[in-house]
Formats: sequence, structure tokens, C-alpha cells
Amino acid sequence: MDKDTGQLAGIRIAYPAFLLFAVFLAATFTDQVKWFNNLVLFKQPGLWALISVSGMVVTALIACIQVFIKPKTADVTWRSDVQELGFWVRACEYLVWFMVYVFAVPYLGYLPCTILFTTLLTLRVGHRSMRWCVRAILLAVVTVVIFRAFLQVKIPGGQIYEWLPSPLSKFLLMYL
Amino acid sequence: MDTILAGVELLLRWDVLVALFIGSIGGVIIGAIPGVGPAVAIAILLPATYSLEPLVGLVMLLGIYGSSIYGGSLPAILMNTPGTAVNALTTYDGYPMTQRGEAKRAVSLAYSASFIGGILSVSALILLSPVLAVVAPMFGSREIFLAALLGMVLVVLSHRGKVVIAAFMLFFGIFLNSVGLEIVRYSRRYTYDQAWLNSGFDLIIVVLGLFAVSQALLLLTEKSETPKTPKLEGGIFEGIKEIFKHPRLAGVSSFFGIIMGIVPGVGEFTAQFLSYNYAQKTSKAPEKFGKGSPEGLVASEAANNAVPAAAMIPLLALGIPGEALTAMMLSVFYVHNVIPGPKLFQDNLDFVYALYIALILLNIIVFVFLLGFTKRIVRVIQIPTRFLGMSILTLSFVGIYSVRNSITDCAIAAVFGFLGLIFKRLDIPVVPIVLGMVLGGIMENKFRNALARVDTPLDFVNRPVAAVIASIIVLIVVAHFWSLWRDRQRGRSKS
Repeated sequence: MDKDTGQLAGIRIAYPAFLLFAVFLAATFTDQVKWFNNLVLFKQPGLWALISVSGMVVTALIACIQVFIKPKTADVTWRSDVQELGFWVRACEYLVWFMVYVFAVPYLGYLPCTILFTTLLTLRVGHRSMRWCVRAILLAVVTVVIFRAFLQVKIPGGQIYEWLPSPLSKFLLMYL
Repeated sequence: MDTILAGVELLLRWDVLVALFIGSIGGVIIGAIPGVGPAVAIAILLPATYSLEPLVGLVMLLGIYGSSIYGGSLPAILMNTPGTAVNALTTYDGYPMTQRGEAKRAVSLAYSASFIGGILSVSALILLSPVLAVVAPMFGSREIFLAALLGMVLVVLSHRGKVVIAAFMLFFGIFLNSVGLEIVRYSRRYTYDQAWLNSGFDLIIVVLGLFAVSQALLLLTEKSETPKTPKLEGGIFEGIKEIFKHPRLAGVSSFFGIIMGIVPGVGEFTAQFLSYNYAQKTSKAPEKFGKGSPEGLVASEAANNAVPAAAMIPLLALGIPGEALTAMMLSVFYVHNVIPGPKLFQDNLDFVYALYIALILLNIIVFVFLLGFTKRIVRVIQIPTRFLGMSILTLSFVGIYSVRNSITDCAIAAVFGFLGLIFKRLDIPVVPIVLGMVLGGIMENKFRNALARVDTPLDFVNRPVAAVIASIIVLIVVAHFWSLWRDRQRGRSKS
């Protein structure tokens, strides 16, 4: 599937989804935005929500009409739609990796988690030599040292550190 | 003069200078790696600067902002792949020069042109400061509201051929900004009874998702590539000498960059195309453009590098960002308790001058660094794309988590990362979302303030500056529809 076909296939899925999302927001407007009867329109706190949602509905509608009325610039079939959708779904795998990493940090600690994450992901994406694994570990260590130890970015210390002897545990909780 | 000296004094501290050095060099390297870009780097590093002093943190991120375009020219010239999106035009003439065995000449010419663009732009900023200090206080709530509206109109219309979807994205950005507890009547907007939505969407989280996580996903999912760079041949000082053969072109191109930088929503692309067209029209060898013309290279690099400093003018004077990067720089300022706007020029002019001088130093540091270390940077470019994607994802976690120490934020960034991936695949503009979030907030705030002083809608434009901005908005919209109508007529007459 070439780039143009993929793009048009994706647009045929995305634009109607945008429209549906905008219509959903518009339909829930009265539930989700409080309207004060004693205030004029321009002083309503929901004015900007109203402007944005109305704008989204109108522009999404026009975008959909343009896509489905304009002559096709590429040969799109249901097969190309599925292929493009498949690409999006494939990307979700890495989101799962990311979220597992996020949830694991408070338990396993920032340094061990980052080393595991970078090494396993490097192996997953096809760099299976020792050289790349070492580079992945180095990246993890440098990231943790710079951000956690040096810049003191607030990332929780791992619960696992508390099982270690006190001086080491304190050091790890503070810096790694 | 005293204010300038006070600015120098602020800057001459070891921690500020180290931050400037790290930011400048880091920016060049980040700009040189295709697929990373300054937006990703600033978003990741912003939370890391929370613990630093305002000037230290600001100068570091300013370094990245101002120097990335320099680095972006390197892969554009050597590999035909722009390091940052705004280096796209550099490939036209830079890469053919590399193919002819003149890589070093092309690279040094690009650095020299960028240096001239950068320095002229900062000079304009310094010269305009006294004017800005007088003009900025004329901007009240109404004027800033209208200037933000002008920014929105320009950012949508600048996406020619995609205006409708750019407008959708802008409204989406305004919507995202309106979610949560509003501070006037304390009512909730679109929270669906979810406590985590009460505080709304944080701009940095959205930006990290849309720019960093999405880029990581794209690099991880697409076919892995290890960029190959050619040998650097030719003399590095050839280009520096050569720039003196084109002083007028470098000056005019920088001028285009400065003007386009000041106008919100227009930016580097328009500046480059205008200066490139000008260079081609005034050249004695226009047929060489696109085939390795040194003039084409000078035009595009001088213009694009003049933009960042010039874009600081509306940002610092009015607090209005013109594109995604300046929108992020605005959050950088806010995070460090520096509020850009008319009052900044009145109360903290020494601070403003310190930033200007930092921009000058940045250009000098980067220029010298590039002349000495280009060969080493070339090695950084050769990181395989999937390994790069993994690195960005790892670093994104630090950026996202440290904003509010929240796992929910990581989930939100992941969702925006997925959306960003789809937008990138489909070539849907993302910048309007960021500007919608920033300008939407400014407009809502200023609109509310202005309502206290207006009785009818016409009162909005009853002051000279407001009337001028409103007229410009009307003119731009009319001109856009006029050009659409004219294109349609031409199409009909052709068929």
C-alpha cells in the first residue's frame, strides 16, 4: 500500500470518527456544562466550550463532506482501510509496553525498571546483539543518573528498595 | 545602556552560562537527529528544569529552541533528510552539493548563513525593544484578545489545502483548554464526573503526547533504518569565505525571517519560500536552483534561522505565541514565574536584555562548536530509528511523570501519543491543537476582562490598536477567500 492510499484510507476512518466525537460532545453539552439563567451569553462560563464544540461539529462535517464528495486521489478499498487500521493497532503494542513501565516504576524502582524497559524493548525491535543491549543499559543508567540523581526530578523510589539494608535503601530511594 | 549592563550582569553567572552552553550544544545535536526535534526535547526537559532558577532553566531551553535549526541543516545537506521540519528547503541545494563532493562547503555555508540570520534577528530584537516597551502597554485586554484571534486565523489559513481540518484541530485545542473546573463560577466543564478531569488537560502532557510519544511510536512501528552519511569532503572555511560574496542575499533573507517570525502563525516555512523565490529571481544563475546553488542554501538557512529570535517579539511583548515551539516557550516562561506581556518590558527590562544577550551568545557558541565538531555530530545522526524511538519513549516518561507525579498523566499522554501518531500518518496538522490550547486560554481570560469595559460588540474595536488588528483580521480572511475564488476561476477556465 503506497503512502497516498494509506493516507486516504486513514482519513476515511478518521474524519467520520472526528465528527462522531464532536457530535457526542455537542449531545452531552447540556449535561456537562452548567448554564446560568441570570447571565447573558457572553458572560456564561460555558461560552468557550460552546464555541469550541460548535466549531468542531461544523468543521468535522465539512471535512467529511469534502472527503466523500471529492474525486478519489488514490485507489482505496476496504482492504486498504483495514491495512491502515492494522498499522494503528500495531502501534498500540508499544503503548502497552510504556504503560507497563509506568505502573512498574513505583514498585520495582526507577533504575531497575528503566534498565529492563530499554533492554527488552531494544531486543523486541530487532537489535539483538550484545552491543545494542549494552547501549540500551547505558542509556537507562545515564537517563536515571541525570534526571533522578542530578536534576532531582520527582520520580517515586521503588518499594523493592525498602527490603534492602538501610544505608543502601536510603541511597537508592534518594538517587535512583 | 544601564539596563543592558544589568542584563549582562544577570547572565554572567557560572550556572547560567553552563545552562546556556548545555542548551546550545544539546539543541544542535537534537536538531541534527531526524525524528527528534526541538519540540520533543523542550517538552521532555521542561519538567527537569523545575528545580532550577528561572533564568537558568529558561536559558537552557532557550538554547535548545534557538540552536536546533542549525543542527537540522546537517542531515538535510548530507542525507537529504531535514533534521527539523523547517530545514526541508535546505535539502534542495544542500544535498546536490554533497553529491558533487562539496559537503563541507555546503555545511559551512549553511552555518554561516544561519549565523547571519540569527545575529541579525537578535539585533532586530534589541533595536525594537525600546519601541516594544512603548507599544506593548497600548495592548489592553481587548487588543491582546484580538491579537490572539489574529494568531488563530493565521495559523489555520497558513495550512493551505488543509484549512478545514486545521480549524477542527484548533477548535479541539480550545475545547481541551476549556475542560475542567472554571475559575469564575467554579462550575465543571466536560468532566463527566471524573475527578482527574477537574484540573483539565495540562499543556505539557498534551504536547509530550502529541510530539514525543507519537514520534516514538512512529519510529518504533515503521521500518527500521540506519541513516548513512557520506564522507565530509572539501574545506570547512570555504563556505565562511563564500558568505561574504552574498551579503545582500543573506541580509534580505534574514529580513524575511524576521518579519515572518514576528507575524504569529506564519513562521519559518513562509520565510524560507519567500527568500528562496527572491534569491532565484535576483540570481544570475537561476537555473542552478534546486541543483546545488549556494545562493539557494544561503536564502533558506538565513531565513529559517532568523525566525526563532523574531518570534520572541510577540511572545515577550504580548505573551502571544505564533507557533508550537513558542507556545511551549510560553509555558516554559510561566513555569519559571516569568509572565511575558507588556508588564515584563516595564518591570523587568534587564531580564529581557539578559535573554537577548543569551541569544547572541548562543549563536556564537553554536557556530564555533559546529565548525569544530561537525564530524562527531555526524556519528550521532546514525542512530537506528527504532533505537531512537525506544530512547524517546524512555525519556518521555521522565517528562510526563514529573509534571504532576501522576500515572493518569502518563495514560493521557499515551492517548495523545496514539492520536498524534494517527495525525502524523494522515498528515493532519498538530500545531493548531497546541495553539488552540494556549491562545484559547488567553482569549477566554482577556475576553472576560474586556467585558467589564465594553457595552456593545463595537466597543471592542473602538481603540486605535484594536481597530487596526481587527481590520487586519478582516483583510486576511477576505484575501483568503478571494484567492480561493480566483483559483477556482482559473481551474474552470483551464478545464
